[in-house]
Amino acid sequence: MIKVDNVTKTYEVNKISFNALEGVNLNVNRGEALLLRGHSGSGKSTLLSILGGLLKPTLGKVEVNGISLGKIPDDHAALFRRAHVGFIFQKYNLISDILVFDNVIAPLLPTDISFKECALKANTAMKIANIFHKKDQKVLTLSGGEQQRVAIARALVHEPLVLLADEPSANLDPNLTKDFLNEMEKIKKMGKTIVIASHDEILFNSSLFDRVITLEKGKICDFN
Amino acid sequence: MNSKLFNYALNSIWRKKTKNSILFFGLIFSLTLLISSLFTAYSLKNMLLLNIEAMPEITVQKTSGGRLENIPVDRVWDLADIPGVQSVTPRVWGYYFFTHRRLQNDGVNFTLVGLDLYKDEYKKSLKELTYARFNSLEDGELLLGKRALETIKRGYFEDFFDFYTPNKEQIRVPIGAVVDGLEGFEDSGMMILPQDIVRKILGVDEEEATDIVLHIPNADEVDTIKDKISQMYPDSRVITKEDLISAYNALFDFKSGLFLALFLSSSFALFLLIFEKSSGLGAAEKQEIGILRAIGWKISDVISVKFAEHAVLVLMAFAFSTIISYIYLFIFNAPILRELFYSKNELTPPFHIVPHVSIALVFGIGLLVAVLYLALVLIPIWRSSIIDPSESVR
Repeated sequence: MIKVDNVTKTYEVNKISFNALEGVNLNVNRGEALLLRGHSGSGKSTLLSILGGLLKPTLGKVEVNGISLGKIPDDHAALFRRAHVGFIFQKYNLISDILVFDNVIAPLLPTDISFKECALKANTAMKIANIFHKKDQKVLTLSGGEQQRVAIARALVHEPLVLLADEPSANLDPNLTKDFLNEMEKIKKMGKTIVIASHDEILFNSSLFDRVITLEKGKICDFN
Repeated sequence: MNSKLFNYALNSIWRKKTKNSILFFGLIFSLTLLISSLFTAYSLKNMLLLNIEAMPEITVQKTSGGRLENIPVDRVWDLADIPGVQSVTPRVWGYYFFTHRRLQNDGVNFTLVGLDLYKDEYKKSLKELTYARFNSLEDGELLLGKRALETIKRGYFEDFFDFYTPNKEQIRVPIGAVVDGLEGFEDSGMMILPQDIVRKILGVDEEEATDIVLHIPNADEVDTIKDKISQMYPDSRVITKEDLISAYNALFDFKSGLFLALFLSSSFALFLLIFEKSSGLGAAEKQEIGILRAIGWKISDVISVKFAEHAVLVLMAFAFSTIISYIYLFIFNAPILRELFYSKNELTPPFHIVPHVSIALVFGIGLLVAVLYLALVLIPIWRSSIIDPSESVR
């Protein structure tokens, strides 16, 4: 499902280059749940962004669901995101002044699918994420946990095979984190491949994950 | 663009209603100023052109020491003999200052035009209905327009008007007809009377006229005939229609200077609005673009939604501005701007602008404004769209 082959990502800040990722190799199977661990700046988010087609690697090859992301043009990357991956961002990245429903349906708007069918898909995704009862509320009126559920619903609305989540528990208390993990269990049972980047111990101790990989200074240092 | 994206664009307008309202009303204000100025200028120019169209090809006046004098009527025979001249008409007309303390500036200048009944000397230059109406009057009666009537009513004249000759003799002339047609800036102060009465009021002898007008069918011969008249009568001042057009244009161009000032200031206001809009997007708007890109919208999807959003705004503002300008000109007769462009009415009765709106002008302005606005607005949107979405959603 996911193949990462010797990937390096170099950033340049103030004419100084540094490698956020260096020679990373990784394979994730279909239906597998993987936890990427590491401290801040270890490269977890960068790797996740590369897997989600939001960033391109400087070197190496990345393939998700048979699609090579190494040098994919911007518009193709957008189509890839729309079709193959769902992304739950650390800060949720919802459009706060529109309704929950409008946020969830947003990834489907540029597609050729009829509005009626889009609405059905959005309703289904909101039910899976347990936020359907708030569908007509504006996002800015929701709590942090509810906003995350909106983000989950939006990530699932186009029925992607891969779900990526970046520090999903960063803004949640332990109880809400457990709720989140329960949601992920449900989604895993649907056959989705899940990759979550986090340094939260609660996630590390969860039974959700089939594997845990630790990143340090841009390199994989531990497979578990 | 599909209908779902268009709906998103409409929702987006409503969602940012405070910001968009400011932009919308700002656009309406600037565009209304701009369109009203252009409509008024265009209508005035059109009225001028219509007046010029009705003018004779050549007008001959007599001068003495650089001052204008009445011209001997017997010159018509020599002028009529010039090859190429179709008709020669001596005209009797002049200004009559009606003073009254109840009037603005304590008085107005009326233009008295003396017509000889049963002679069609003014048939071409007077509106057909006005001419026919005058010919149906009893001898010795006065014809004037509504605006002139309103003016003399302030001096308590209703059914007649008292003129005074240079010898201080009073001549009372009954008002025979009031017509609708005399409302333009050239004829709102016009009074049409029998020629013999005008002669008495203005002190013009039977053997003299104010000027002599010539109709020349072939425009190419006008300059040659003008030269011939100048040689024939060295004391004459020969004015062609082209000279009058130049004089009118000079007057209009002076007014156009004011128009230009107004046009530039309104354009500047419009420019400021556009500049403010194009100088950058707000953080929330940038973030929204980043989010949409991150969840799978292509650059073209984002741009088409934003294009629709701003196109709806600018086209609606343009439509409203056009309607407001139209009402301002048609119903309210362009207050302020009318005086700004043509201030002659200080000494003549108020005139009514005959509105003339060109569809091509409306579409021209619309196209220019919309293209300029959308082009400038879409540049920062495009710039935000091409940024790596990971930067916006980090």
